[in-house]
Amino acid sequence: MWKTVRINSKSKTITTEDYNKTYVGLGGRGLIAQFLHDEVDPTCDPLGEDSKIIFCTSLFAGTGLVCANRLSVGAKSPLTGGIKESNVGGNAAAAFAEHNIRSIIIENKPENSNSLYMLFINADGNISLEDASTYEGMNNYEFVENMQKLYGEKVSVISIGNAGERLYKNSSLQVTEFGTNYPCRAAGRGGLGSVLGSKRIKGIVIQKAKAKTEYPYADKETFMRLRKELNQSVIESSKTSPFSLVGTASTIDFVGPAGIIPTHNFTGEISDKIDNLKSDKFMSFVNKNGKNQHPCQAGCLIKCSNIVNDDQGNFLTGGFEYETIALCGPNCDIYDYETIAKIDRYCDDIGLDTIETGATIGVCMDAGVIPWGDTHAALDLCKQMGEGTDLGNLLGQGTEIVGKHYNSNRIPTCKGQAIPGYDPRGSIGTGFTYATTSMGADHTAGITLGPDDPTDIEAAVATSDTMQHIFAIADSMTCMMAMATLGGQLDKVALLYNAMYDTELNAGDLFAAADKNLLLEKEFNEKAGWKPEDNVIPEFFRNEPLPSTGRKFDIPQSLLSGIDKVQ
Amino acid sequence: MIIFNNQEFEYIDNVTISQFIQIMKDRKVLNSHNALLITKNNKLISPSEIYIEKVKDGDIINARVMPVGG
Repeated sequence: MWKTVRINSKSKTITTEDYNKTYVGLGGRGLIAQFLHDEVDPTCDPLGEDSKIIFCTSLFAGTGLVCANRLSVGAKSPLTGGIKESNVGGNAAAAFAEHNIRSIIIENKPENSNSLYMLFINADGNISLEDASTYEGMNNYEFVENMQKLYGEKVSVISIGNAGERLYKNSSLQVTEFGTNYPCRAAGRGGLGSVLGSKRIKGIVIQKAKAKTEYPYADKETFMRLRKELNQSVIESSKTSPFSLVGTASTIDFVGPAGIIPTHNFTGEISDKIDNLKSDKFMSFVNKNGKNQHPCQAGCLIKCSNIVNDDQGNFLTGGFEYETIALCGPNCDIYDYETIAKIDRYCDDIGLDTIETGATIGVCMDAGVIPWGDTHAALDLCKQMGEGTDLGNLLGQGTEIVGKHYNSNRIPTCKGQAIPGYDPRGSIGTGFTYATTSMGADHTAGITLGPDDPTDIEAAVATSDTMQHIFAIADSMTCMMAMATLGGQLDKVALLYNAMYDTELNAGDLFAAADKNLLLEKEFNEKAGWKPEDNVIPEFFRNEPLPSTGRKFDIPQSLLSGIDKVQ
Repeated sequence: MIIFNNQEFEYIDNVTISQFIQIMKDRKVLNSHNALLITKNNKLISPSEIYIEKVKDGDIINARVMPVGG
């Protein structure tokens, strides 16, 4: 019953295909990897006619499993030149599932670059390409407002802002959030907004389905029993989880004093001002006019998101997360939540990855383009990207190109993508992931962080490898916050899978599927031209000790390149 | 004798790591609903192998919360 919808952006044809039987049992990141492996030439221009952008729901979207309404977006990344899967919460995946859509593939490229279209899925399930030229140059919040006026308040929207239209390599796709319906959820990494922009598609708009959806459970009774048990376990763990009680910003309480949070363009210098960003300050800030414990998608029982309102009580931003705070805050010597929240709003509106943007601003401050900690100047850099000035167009190319432009010797990137919120010297296993994953520097590819984060190299590498598999499982079926509980019940998760897909898998088979997923991604990148010696951590992390511990990043290059293996 | 998170426990015959962890939870030694990363004798055990790998007398087992972040 699942459908694949294929859009040819050149001929403007839409075809609906029965779900390929060999793909049954794949979802999210795993399905993205399979599609890209089977259909896309890895050597193609990411913004050219041979590239494709693919949207896939997770394996259990629509079923009521906790955090299962996750949407994966995939393409060859214009930022890294490799395969990219970026996943996001919000209400789009659930809307797709209501229409029995598992995947949407947008291919080719229009000859006329002046045209602009949007994909519209109406309540009856009819799919059409609509002229969107009226909305050219419009940013995400205004676009969504227009879609709500046109198609109803409950419509789900995936869209790009000016950054995606201008083909910025740091551009995101924004997705409307469950509850607020503002476009504050981002498939941020890898510059995938520009891939949609290259197809001259402004967005995808989905009305709620009129007909009630029946999902093809192999054994519905067993599925519902297991779903209840798994959901209950997440409810129990959420009662004491800082991610639930505060939000992902709670991470600062640990990584701030430990000097693992990026500061001052990844120097690691610890400022007393970090206290301004700890959990108690975050709670005061968010709950002054808004609230924390907000679910970003239907069926979320963790509620790590939040709603931030301005002093007048108007919505400012949501999904105000640790990574955004770390990169746009301390990494730029900015230690006030109000400014960071404004940057977050601006990025969501234009359609910019906040991690890439924060890292880029940090490099600019390091290069003397603007003063350290200057909140107005930081916001102005964002506005320049929104307005498309010469400087803005440079900044939109991402941290690595900006760093090279200013001859910086401290460019915090792996494979062209900015390093997220954990200094690799403070979490060497996480650094190993940054250097070796097919995703470029990406915290969602497998972190090893925590009070018991291994400091010996062998254990750190082993933990990175295990976590890369765990996150691959998570990215195909749920969000990683839920995996913090479900990851300890993979036997039960396998039974749930069997009850849905009529298979006989066990926990080991789930790990094997994750392994295949990682290998497909690696194979794509090898064909795209990635080499083992490209698996590097920027040199300054090897030369400069982290102030809090005195440790440099010291995993040998031969291990990063795979020449040597841990025992 | 099994050493679990630096505490000594009497060896239990014929249990997997998963079953052993459940016993630790039942005895309130471990008070966590979170997924765990397990090491046995300093070797990381994959979360899929805990259902197969048996606990042996003299094993040193440590559990840490599975790391996630946002």
